[in-house]
Amino acid sequence: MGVSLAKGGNVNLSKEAPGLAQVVVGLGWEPRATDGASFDLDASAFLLNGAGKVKDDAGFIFYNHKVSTCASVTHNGDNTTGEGAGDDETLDVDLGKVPADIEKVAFTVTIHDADARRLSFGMVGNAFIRVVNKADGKELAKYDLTEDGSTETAMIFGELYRHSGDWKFRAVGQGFAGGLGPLAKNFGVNV
Amino acid sequence: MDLQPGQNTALQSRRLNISLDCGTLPPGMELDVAAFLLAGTGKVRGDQDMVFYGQKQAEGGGVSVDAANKAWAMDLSRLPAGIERVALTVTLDQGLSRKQRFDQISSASLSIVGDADQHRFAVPTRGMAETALILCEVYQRNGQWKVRAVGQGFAGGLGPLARHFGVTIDEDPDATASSPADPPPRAPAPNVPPATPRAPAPAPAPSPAPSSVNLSKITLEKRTPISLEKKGGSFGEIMVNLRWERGSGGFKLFGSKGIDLDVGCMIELVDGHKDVVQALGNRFGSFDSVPYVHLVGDDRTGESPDGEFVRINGGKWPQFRRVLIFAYIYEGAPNWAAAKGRVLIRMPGQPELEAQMDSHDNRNAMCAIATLENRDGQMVATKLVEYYPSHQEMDRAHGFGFNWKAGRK
Repeated sequence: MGVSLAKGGNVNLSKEAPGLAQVVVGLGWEPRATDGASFDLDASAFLLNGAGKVKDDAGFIFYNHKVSTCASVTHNGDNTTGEGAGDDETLDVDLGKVPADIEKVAFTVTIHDADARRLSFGMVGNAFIRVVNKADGKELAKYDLTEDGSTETAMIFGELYRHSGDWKFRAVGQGFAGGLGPLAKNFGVNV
Repeated sequence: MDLQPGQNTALQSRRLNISLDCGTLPPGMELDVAAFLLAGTGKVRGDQDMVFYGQKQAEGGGVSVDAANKAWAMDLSRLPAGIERVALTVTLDQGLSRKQRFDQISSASLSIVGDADQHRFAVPTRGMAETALILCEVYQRNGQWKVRAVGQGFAGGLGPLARHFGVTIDEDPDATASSPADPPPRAPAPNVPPATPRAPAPAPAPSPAPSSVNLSKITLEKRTPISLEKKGGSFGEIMVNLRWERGSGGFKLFGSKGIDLDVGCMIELVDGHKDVVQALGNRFGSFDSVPYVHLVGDDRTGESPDGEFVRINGGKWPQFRRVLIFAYIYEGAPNWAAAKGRVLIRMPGQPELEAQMDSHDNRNAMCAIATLENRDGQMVATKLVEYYPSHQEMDRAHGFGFNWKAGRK
């Protein structure tokens, strides 16, 4: 078990796992147990510069664009129901390949078709983000968002960021109005 | 504060009064409130953790339901050890079979009030196909009690809801056993039959039927006659349909033996001919000849979706003096509440009439449901729903004057 983070908390991954090269960012949620539209959550990643924006649209990694140009971030596929134990969607990050001008990688989760399906994060059970050392499968940090989700339909779950030559992870848990489109625009993606 | 679906907030009070206000319900809709006490697994520890009309208080008194007022009282300090979460639910009684769903309720507002709390959750019922809803959950998180507005549920009713929380059920209670609990046992009725039979109360003067009825169904109120006008000189074929629920031995919380309900008619014609049409004694009658009343089939279980039918030849209405429609429990202990019998009377060009056997009198196996009387060619329908211990008693009360002997079908 890694560090359990509360909203806003951060952990120095390089110190937790010296020599850390690659991480797996796992995002999970419980499938809907009640009737109605399923909780189809989509994980995405944004490669952001010091201004908090993507350099270009290729810095937006999502279900239709799964590998960044620099090959540092790879989306491992879309899970449309949350079925299955553990992580429902994962992204691999090769920290050494992240371009030098990228300051942080933000991981977001959006509820697909939230407005039409009338869903929000407060209705989704046991949503979490965790960071795992790819080399040994050890969990470095985990953030359980269950209590921080409410009426949002898009959330920044967490972010990997550079700090004095180390990589750190912060539990963000910040809600965002609208879906994936407005969120991407916010990060400077032309959608 | 006003809570949105999924939103949670901390609770400052230990004692909470929670109530659900759904305004005026559509006719024929009944709501049942319940609470599920859940362990860390999200499941009940056992059936004792389901608090509902059949078990109104949880162990320790920490949760109680007020079925009549759609309300819950909670004292968080008195919840049994190991209970981390309490889900408050509402279900549409027989929602599936009555084809009801929550979007037929225009507004549903949950109020959560404590000494230092006042929260409201307007349940968004629009478009909800559900018949069972989790309204909110009260839970402990890092030592802090919180409430979360949920507003999610199941289209399949109480069955899937109970299963979701780990309550063991063998059969879907929505279809068979979600009946209101029996009324508390009354003082035993004296075994001595009444010295004088109960005389029928004189029916008030018939009131004319509204010339245009928008409702497709009219529920007959007791002893309020409805006069039906002939269309083109004939009432056509009058269909009397009895439906009921068999009851189930499967779900022990609601357990009851299967019930066989039969429908029948006592008939008096203008020429003085009297007859009984019923399954008992194989008296199925005839539609085209005297007594112009025909019992169609005999549903022994209540599982037939359409129940039992009696056809009355309305074309022969001038020859009728009156018809008494009755139902009796042929098998199974008298439990009208569980059987939920209702009778629909349909005829061409007239609004459908409905009478429910809802008087919850479980001492007597016989129920006089309604009379159809010929008054100057008009048909006057009067709901009775009077309970009798036997055919004889009912006959005596209504003055048909049959000779009775025991019969079997």
